[in-house]
Amino acid sequence: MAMQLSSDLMDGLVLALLSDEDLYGYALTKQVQERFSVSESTMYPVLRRLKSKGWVTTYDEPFEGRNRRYYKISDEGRSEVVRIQDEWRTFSGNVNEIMMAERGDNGE
Amino acid sequence: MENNIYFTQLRGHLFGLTEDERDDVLAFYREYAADAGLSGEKLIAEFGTPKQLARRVLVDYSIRYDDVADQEAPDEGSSATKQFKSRIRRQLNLLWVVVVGLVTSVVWIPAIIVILLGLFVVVLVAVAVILILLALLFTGLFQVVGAIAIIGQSWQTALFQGGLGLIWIGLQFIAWPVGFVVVRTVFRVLMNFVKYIGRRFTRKPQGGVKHA
Repeated sequence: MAMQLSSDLMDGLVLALLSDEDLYGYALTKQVQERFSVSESTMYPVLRRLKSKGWVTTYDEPFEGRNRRYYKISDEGRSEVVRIQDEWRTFSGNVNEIMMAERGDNGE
Repeated sequence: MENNIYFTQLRGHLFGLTEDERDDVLAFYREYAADAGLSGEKLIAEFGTPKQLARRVLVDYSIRYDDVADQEAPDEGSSATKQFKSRIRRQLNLLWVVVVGLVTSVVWIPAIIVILLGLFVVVLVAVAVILILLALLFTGLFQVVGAIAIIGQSWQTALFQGGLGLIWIGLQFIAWPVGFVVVRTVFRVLMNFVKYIGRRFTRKPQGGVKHA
């Protein structure tokens, strides 16, 4: 996909995924990569940023003799999701209104 | 390549980060590699060589750092010049990290050339602005001194020349901020390009990975 995800949207997507369940890095990356082409080195800074903003917390859980770091959305993170959802609703609504408008001269 | 060797090398290439930050990066990619079942050639195919991965992490790191710092409200305590200085330092660092990152792969050489040319233009414009403004200042001073020197012979000419000199000097107060804005604008255009290239660079590991 040629269109690029802004930092804000990326934050929103990751937070939205985390509001369903706690996820570890690989699983989270895979879920985003199902629809968007992002590299692992993009995921890492996003998670770091979300953590430093206090929107996610992490905890380690043992798995096959090593630790897996799970990312968990915080209460601040949940209100951030709502904020991004609102912005996205307005933004995508505006884009759709112009982009997807029925054009009179379009083979009618 | 053994995974351990890969990650030891990765750590070595993560210059400019603190120990904690390096540990964090390492932990993330180690875990990712283990979960994805990556080792040896597959590890390099996915992440690139340790050097390439490190540079991508660093580029992404500094771009986001720059974006966040731009959005954040300025500290109450620090003065405007201090903020300006730290902003310049941050952006030059970003420029450096991006260029060093791009060097890892041949396909980015045109981009590097454009960035370096851009930097050259910024310096050129800055030097030109400074020279022109200094020339203006000295012309003004020269006129004023000249005016004082001839005041005994012809006060009309002296007054005219002195006034002209004062105008040149007075213009400095407007001209320096204008010159500053010109230089800053050129620099900003360059930095936007650098960030754009940096984002393209971090997007996909496949940027001439094969020559590892």
